[in-house]
Amino acid sequence: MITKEDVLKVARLSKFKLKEEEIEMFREQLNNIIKVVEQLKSINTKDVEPLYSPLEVSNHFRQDVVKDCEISEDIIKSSEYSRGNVIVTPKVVG
Amino acid sequence: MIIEKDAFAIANAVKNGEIKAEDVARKFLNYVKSADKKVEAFNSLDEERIIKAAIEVDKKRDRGEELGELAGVPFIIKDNIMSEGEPVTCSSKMMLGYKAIYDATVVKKIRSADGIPFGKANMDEFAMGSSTENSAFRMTKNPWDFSRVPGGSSGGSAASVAALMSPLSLGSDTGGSIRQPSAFCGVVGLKPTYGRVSRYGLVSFGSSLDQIGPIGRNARDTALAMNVISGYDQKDSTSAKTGVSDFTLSLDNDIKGLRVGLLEDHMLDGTDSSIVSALNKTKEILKDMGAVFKKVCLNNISLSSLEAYYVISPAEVSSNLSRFDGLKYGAKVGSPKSVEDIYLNSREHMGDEVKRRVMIGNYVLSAGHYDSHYKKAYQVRRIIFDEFKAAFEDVDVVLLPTSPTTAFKIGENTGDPVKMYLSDLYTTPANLAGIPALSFPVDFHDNLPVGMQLIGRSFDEALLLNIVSQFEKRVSLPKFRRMDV
Repeated sequence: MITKEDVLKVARLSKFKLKEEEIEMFREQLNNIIKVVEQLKSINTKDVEPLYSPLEVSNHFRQDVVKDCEISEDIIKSSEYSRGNVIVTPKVVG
Repeated sequence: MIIEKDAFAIANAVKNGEIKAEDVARKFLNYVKSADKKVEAFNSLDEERIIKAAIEVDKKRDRGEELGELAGVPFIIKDNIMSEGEPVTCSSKMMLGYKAIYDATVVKKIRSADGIPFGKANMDEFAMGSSTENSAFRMTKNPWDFSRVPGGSSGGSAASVAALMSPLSLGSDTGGSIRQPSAFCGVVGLKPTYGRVSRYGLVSFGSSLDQIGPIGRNARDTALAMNVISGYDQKDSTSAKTGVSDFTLSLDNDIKGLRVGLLEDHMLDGTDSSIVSALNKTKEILKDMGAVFKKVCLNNISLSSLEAYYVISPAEVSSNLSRFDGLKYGAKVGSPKSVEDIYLNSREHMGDEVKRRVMIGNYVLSAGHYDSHYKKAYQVRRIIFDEFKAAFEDVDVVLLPTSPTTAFKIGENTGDPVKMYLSDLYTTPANLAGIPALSFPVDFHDNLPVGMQLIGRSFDEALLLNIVSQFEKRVSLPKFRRMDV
């Protein structure tokens, strides 16, 4: 059962600002979704190794060589907060 | 009429000099101008850029150089895939104003094959949805019935191909987002094996589930597109080194003796009778062509894929969407007092479905739920993976519906997220197992297309395309609907 506190907690973790009327709407909807996914509990998964990726390959290694992709300037420029070659944000740590 | 031709025919005509790539582009642009007023499949279309690219193809031919497999072929790109210099919005207000600064590997490959990236297709916001109704910008219509949805999330990609606005498009498929809209719009849509097609330049949704794939009006065009976009890419660490052979070469193979797996009858409970009868009809046709049928035991796949999917994909999405912090790109938030302000005010531009999934993801990942939900879902995924593996020892492919219904009415399912999720019932298993699956049109019911799904072994896309190609020889269905008559 998802409570109002649960919704507020996951909204905080998700960096969402919810309006009062949204809290109840999401509580009900999230509750319905969780009820469905909790049906998984009936499946016996004892000693089953989780499968995190369907592709069973090892890492592809390459030489660690610096290459210029020639897009770094454009990446910085796309930010609203770019100044010169950096992104400047309000102070993070008080 | 060049716009009614398939990609194969257009490429040949351009290669042989029967028509210039520029003329092809102009004819399509001209048609799209009126057609898209009805369908609303495009988020953006840069005419100048398209004509320029087409002229480059013509110049290449004039210089006597050999043209690529997609010579002059318009190719619509889903709006979550980067095409340099063009907007990439993911149909989210969060991304308004952002332009891609590099080409996704698939787009680069289309250009190298002399294809013409032809605008960006509408979709559910960040690819979350099964109807394209979650787009923040426009409501794409089903070309066969404007009161119905095109499916989703690659709704714009599927609708544009069915409405003749392009012979080919790219979609992305995390839980059915290529196949379900392809079924709803009566076209062929393929989700390749995980790792077959590079994801570099695709905005990530569920990283262990996402695949880019082609949508076309027949098996041959879809195979042609696969030839171009497949292959190892150093820029995608989950890209497979498995070799790629010409997908068109096996299209004409006889399917006599093909072993086709079917779900147990009770697994189809709750599926529309029109879909079940189309499944039986398809079975009879394939049987007549020499295929043999066998029931396969896929109990966990049918019963728990959807549940596992709706833990795994939100968990992965909650992590992937944390990059949308308002700092690097996306919605402008004015003059913030703190970084927290930037996060909260920019992420307010995300729609309700996106918020729901991110919150579900953070819920299942948080302390107290991790083992019981998150880990459990990946364990169930292993069971599903093994179940497919066992099934494919007895059969070559599995035949099942793509979706439990045909295209539903706009607004019909929007109030109930769980009801909308049920649309993904038959499509999520292939994403969880990472195996290839395609949807192909088999029938019409009440003037709406019905699609069936074929799921195959890893890297066996060629067989799926082969079966569809043979089926097309027996069954002739309307392939498109013109919007200007």
